[in-house]
Amino acid sequence: MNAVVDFLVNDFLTEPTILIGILILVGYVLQKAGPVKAVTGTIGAMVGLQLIIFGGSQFSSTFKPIADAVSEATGISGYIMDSYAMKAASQEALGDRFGWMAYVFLIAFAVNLLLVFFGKWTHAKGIFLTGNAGTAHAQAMLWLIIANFAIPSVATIIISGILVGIYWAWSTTIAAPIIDEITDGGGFTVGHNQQVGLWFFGKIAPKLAGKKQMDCEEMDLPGWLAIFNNNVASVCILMFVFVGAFCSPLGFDGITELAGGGNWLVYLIMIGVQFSMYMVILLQGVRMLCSELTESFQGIQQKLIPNAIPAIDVAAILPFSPNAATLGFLFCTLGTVLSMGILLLIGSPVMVLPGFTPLFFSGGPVGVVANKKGGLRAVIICCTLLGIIQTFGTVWALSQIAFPGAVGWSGMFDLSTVWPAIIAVMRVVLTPFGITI
Amino acid sequence: MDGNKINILFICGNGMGTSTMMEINIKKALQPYGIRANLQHTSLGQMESLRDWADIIVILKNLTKGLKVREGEHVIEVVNIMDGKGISAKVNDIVEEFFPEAKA
Repeated sequence: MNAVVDFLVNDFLTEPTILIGILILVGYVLQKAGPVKAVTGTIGAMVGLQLIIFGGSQFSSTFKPIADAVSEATGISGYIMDSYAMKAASQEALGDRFGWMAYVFLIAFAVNLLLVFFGKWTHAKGIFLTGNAGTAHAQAMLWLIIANFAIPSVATIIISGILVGIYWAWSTTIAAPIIDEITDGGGFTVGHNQQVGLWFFGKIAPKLAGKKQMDCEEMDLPGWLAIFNNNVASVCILMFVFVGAFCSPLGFDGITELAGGGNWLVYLIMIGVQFSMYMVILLQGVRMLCSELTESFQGIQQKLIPNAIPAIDVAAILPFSPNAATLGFLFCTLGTVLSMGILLLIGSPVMVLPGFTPLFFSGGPVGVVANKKGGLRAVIICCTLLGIIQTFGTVWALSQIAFPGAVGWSGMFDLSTVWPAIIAVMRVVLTPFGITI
Repeated sequence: MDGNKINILFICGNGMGTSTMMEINIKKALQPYGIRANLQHTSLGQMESLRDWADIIVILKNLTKGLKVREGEHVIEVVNIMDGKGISAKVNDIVEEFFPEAKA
């Protein structure tokens, strides 16, 4: 008997994929999904989770030798800022504790529902339904709390869940009015990684409008910019350019050495292609894990709180202003590159390289908001500023993660402003109690 | 077509959040029309691998630049992904004209 319990507790349930698989199976049983759906859905989700872990670790190990070589040559530590870098770093940091992420996610959703259920007093309206971003929040917050505070594991899980739940309810609610304005009463708000940024830029954009407000949608943008809408191509190009620039202190000889004696250019092109491939693997994994999560959570929301505002993926606002989204991407990239130049000039020991996600999924949406509230001039200023805030904010966030082996951190607006602010405040408040690490 | 089912493919930037939500909304809104359909979602970058499978491609409006619609391919451009009713009405128009066998 003891052997069975021992097996269950020490072997079976410490494997994150099995723990999460069991929770998903329980979900199907509670929904009375039937045996075929329950078995195929559970195994599909477990395979998806393995794809995410595999893609994430490959993502890290592709970048690791490059970061090590540049660090040795220049003393500068390089990190990638992208939601998937954060996913990879936090699941590696958590190790066996990765499965706890599922509890954090469920607690966060429950807290979000409760805050909206009692909306009369809390004024919260938004319910966070984006499974792909939500799971990333759960594991990132879990790691941040573990890395910064010495508290028992159950309390760590509960505190992480409550913090994420409050963030979901609050951020989706303050973003609701501006999203309503952009979408002409579209009936949703944004629940992703930059909704506080959308609120912030919605406030400042009107002050940045030119005398003659020019609408980006009346402009004719060159057709080749459509290349950057294609995620597979975009990741490859961005990684080739930024990793290539990051490697430049090594010189041709240094890069040739990294390539194991192969041609330096072929090596850098292959780095771009490989990053894109690992991104495709990660996306496929997230798709297998999260699609039905989104559906069942929306079902729960509609059953329990039908008049809540669904908070969905930020890309939903991009079709309302396609040109502004493209310009937002470009100027966010500009602001990021400017900030990287500043980091280099001031001799920062940390350098961050932008991935596709913060440029496309923060830059684009902020462009849409700024265009609506202030036209082209506001788009240029807001998105450049966004790139600057995200870059320096990521350097700030990286100082809190206590995981030198990290491939990077998110780089999205909220994760590089609100989140590090929460951790910084908690550190100040909790230090007198002697539990801050 | 897949037997008497029509294949609908949803496209967004990364093929996760937004296209999933579109698929969920349209799945519900299609029910009153009695249309038999298989639904899948993916990213713009991975669209080609499912293009031959799809009878109807439902895609965000900001991603259509440079997209060349092939002969016999039906594309619906979407502005508001939560507008399940509006998108489903367009799907229904296409089904009635080109794929009547998919209707019960």
